[in-house]
Amino acid sequence: MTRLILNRVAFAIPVLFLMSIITYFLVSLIPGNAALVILGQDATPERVAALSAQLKLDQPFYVQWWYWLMDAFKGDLGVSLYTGLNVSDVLSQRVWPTFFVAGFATLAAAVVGISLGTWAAVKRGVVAKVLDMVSMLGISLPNFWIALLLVVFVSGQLKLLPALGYETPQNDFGEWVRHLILPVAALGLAGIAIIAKQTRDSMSEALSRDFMRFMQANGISKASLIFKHGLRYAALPVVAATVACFVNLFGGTVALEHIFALPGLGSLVVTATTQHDLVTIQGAVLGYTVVVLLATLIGDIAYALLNPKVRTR
Amino acid sequence: MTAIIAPDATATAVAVKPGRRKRASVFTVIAGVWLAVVVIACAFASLIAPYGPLDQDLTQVFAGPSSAHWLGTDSLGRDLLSRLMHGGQSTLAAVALAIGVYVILGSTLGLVSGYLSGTTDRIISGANAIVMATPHIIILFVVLSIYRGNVFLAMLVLGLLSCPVMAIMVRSAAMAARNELFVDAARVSGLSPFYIITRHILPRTMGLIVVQGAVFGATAIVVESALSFLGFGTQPPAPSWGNMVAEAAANISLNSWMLYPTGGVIALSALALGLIGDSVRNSVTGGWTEPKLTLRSRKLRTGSAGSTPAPTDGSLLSVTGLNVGYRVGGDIKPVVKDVTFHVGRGETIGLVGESGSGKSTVAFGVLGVVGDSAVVTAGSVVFDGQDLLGLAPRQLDAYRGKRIAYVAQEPMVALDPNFQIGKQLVEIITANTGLKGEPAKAKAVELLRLVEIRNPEEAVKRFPHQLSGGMAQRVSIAIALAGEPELLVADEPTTALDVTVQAGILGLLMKLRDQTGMSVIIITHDWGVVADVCDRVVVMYKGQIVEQNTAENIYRRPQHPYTQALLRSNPHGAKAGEDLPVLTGEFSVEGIAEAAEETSPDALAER
Repeated sequence: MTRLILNRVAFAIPVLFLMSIITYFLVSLIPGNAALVILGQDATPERVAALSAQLKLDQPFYVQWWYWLMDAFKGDLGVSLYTGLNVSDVLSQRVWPTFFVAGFATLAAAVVGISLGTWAAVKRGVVAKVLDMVSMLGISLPNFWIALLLVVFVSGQLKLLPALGYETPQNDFGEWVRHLILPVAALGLAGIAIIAKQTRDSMSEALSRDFMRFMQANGISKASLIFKHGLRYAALPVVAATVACFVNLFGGTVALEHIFALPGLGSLVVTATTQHDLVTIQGAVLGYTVVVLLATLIGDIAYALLNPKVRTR
Repeated sequence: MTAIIAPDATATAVAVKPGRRKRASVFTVIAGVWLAVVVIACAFASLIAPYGPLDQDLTQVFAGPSSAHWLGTDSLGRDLLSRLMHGGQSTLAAVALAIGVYVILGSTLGLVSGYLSGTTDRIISGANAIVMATPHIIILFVVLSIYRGNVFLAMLVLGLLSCPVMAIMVRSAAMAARNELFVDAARVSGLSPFYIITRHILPRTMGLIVVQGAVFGATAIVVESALSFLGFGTQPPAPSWGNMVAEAAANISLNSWMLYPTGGVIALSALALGLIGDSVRNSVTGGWTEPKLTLRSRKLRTGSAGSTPAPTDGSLLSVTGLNVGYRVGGDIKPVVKDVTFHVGRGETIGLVGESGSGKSTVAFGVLGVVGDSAVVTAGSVVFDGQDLLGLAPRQLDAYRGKRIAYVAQEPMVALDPNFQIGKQLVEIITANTGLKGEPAKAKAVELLRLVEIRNPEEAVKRFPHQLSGGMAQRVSIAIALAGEPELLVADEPTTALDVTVQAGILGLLMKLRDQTGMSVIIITHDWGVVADVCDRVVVMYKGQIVEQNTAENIYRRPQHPYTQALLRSNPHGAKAGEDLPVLTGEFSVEGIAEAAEETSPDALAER
C-alpha cells in the first residue's frame, strides 16, 4: 500500500515537470505580448520594452520557466501579469466552484448510474436496451446545450433556480446549493451514462459467477446476492469508472462556467489565455494536473482497498 | 489402437445449424441513415442548401420554421438549415481528422506495445500514462489561442491527447491474442512481427477498434462544438455547429427556438455515432454473459406438474417426469427429458453419465437454481410432500440451505472471492439458522472443525484465494452443512481436485452423511466413487435416464448398452499398456421405458 502511494508520487513528479515546461513552450508560441496587453495599444515601444524586461518576457521560454520553477519550489506561483493578483490565492479561490460542480456531478452520477446499471443487469432484456440508449444519449448531448436548455426552462420559464453566478457555502449555504443544482445536472448527465454502463457490464459479470448459484442454492437471498455480493464484486471497475468520470468532468466544466458565470478554474483559463497571462495559465495547468493526479491516486488506493488479493499481500 | 465403443460403426454426424445472423436493430439503421443524410447534406451544401450561409434577410429575423425556412432564421434573418449544412462541413471534417488520428495512432501503439511487450511496452505505457494525466481541454485552449480558429489543428491535438485510451484497450486485447496458440505457432515458425500483428492480432482487435473509434467520434463532435461555442473555433460570421449554439445562447432571451435545431443536430449526430459503435460492440462481444443467479420471481415450472401425485412411499425426494429446457432464441431446447427417480431418507444416490448428459441440470432443478435461461417445462420435484417446482422462489428460501444443500464442482469459484470465509459462513449460518453475532461466529469455527480444517480460528480470516482446492471444498461443505440439511446435492465434489485430496473429501462427505443421517445425491462420472459410496445408481444419457438400479446390480448386470459401455471405459479397471475404450456415437434410448420399469424402486420392491 505504502509502496503503491510512493509509486504514484514518483510518477507524479516527472508529469508535473513535463506539464509545466510544455505549457511554457506552448504559451510562448501565442502571438502577442503580455506587456502590450497590460499597457494597452497606445503604449510607447520604450515602455513596453521596459515592462517586458521587468517581467522577464524578453527571455526565452525556458529561462522564464526556470525562474517560475524556482519560485514554485518555494511555494510561490507568481503574480498574474494582468491583474497583479497572487496566482496561488487566485487558484485557491477558483478551484472550489469547479471542484464542487465536478464532485457533486460525479456523486450524483454515481448514485443514479450504479442504481440504473444494477437494475439493467438484473432485468436485462428491454430495460437493458433502454439503458443503452439513455447512456448513449448522455454521452452525446453536449453539456453546454443541456445547460442552455436548463437555463431556458428551469430558470427562464419556471423561474425555479438562478441561472447565473455563484455563492460560497460559508456565505450562504442555501444560495450555494441553489447555484450549484443546474451546473451539476448539466454536467452529471454524461457521468451517469459512463457509470451506468460500467455497472451494468460488471454486474452482469458478477451475476454470471459460479458462487452466485452456490450461495443461492445454500440459502442466501437474492437481495443479498445482488446488493451485497454482486455490488461488491462489481465495485472495482465501477470505482475506476467513477474516478475516470470525475477526471473527465473536472476538465469539462469550461463551457458550463461560461454559461452559468461560475468563477471557477475553467473560466480562469479562458480569460488567462485571451490575456496572454502566462503565469496564471501556468498556475491553472498545475492546478488541473494536481487534481487529476490526486484523483488517480485516490482511485489506486480504492483499488488496493477493494481487492483482497492486493490488500492481503 | 484405442477401442471405440459405439452402438454401430458409423458415428452420427452432428447436424450443424446455420448460425442465426444478428439483425441490425432498427435504431442502428436509423442512426446510419441519419449520419449518411448529415454527411451528404453538409458535403454538398453549396449545391443543395436553399440559401447561402451568409445570405441575410432582415425582414425575416428570428423566424420560426416555415416552408421558406425549414428550421427558421437567426438574428440576421439567415436560413438556419443552410447555415447548419455549411457549418457542418468544417465540424465533420475536423471530427473525421480527430477519429483518424485517434484510431490509427491509438491502435498502432496498442498493437505494438501489446504484442512486443518488454521495454517497448514500458515506454509506450509510461508515455500513455503521462499524456492521460494532462488536462486535455486546457491544452486545446492554449493551442487554439496560438492558432486562432484552426479547428483542424485542435482536433488533431485532441486525437493525439486521447489516443492513449485506445492504445490501452487495444494493448490488453493484443496481449490476450498474443497468448493464443495460433499466434505462438506463427511466432515459432518465424513470421515477422509486422506480419503477425497485421494478419493475426489486428483482426482479433478490429471490433474493439471500431467501437472505440465510434464512441470517441461522438465525444469529438461534442468537444469541437464546445470549442467553437466558447469562441475558440470557427470564427463568425462563418457558421459552425458550435458557434451557432453560441449565437442562439446570446439571443436566448429574445428567441429560444434557435437553440433546438443547432444543439439538436450536434446531439443527434453524436448519438448516431455512439449507437453504431454500441451495436458493433454488442455483435462483437456476443451480447450477454449468462447469469448463474436465478433471478426470476415466478415459479420455476412453466408446464404442468404431470398427473403423478406426490408419492407416499416415504421417499424424501421424488423427481417425477422432470423436463428441463434452455431457451435458445425463441425455442426451448430440451436438455432433461422425463427424468424420474426417488431418494429415500439416509440414502445415497449416484447420478452417473458423461458430460452434457443433463446430470447437473437435474441437480439444479432439484435445488431450484436452474438459471434464468432454463425452464422446467413439466414434472415435479416433491420434497417431503411439497412440490418445490410449484413454489415461488421466495418460498423456496425455506428449503434452500435449510433442508436441501449444495456442494459445487469447482470449490475455488463457488466461494465469493471478496469476503473472508468466516464472513461467508456467518452469513449462511444467519440465513439458515437465525444465529447472529458471536454465536454465529462460534458456529462457523465449529463447522470448519467439523470439516477437519486445521486451526479453524485462523482459517475464518482467510480469503478464498488463500485456500488450496481441497481446503476450499471443505469450506464449501461446511457452508452446505450450516443449515443441517436433510438432503445434500454434491455435483462432482472431487472432480476439480488433485487426486491426492479426492479420497479425503469423499471420505469426509461419507463420514458427515453417517453422522447426520442426511440423504445424498452425488453426481459423478467416476465409477470408483459410485462403488465406494452409493446405494443406488441412476445412469443418464442425453438428458434421459437409461437405467437405474442398486449399485451392486449396476456393476454385476448392467442392462443398457450405454451403461455397459460406460463401465468398460472406467479407468479404475484399466490394465497398464492397454488403451481405454472410448465412447462415441449414439446409443439408442429406445426400450428404456421397459428397462426403467423393470428396475424402478417400485418394481424392485415388489420382487
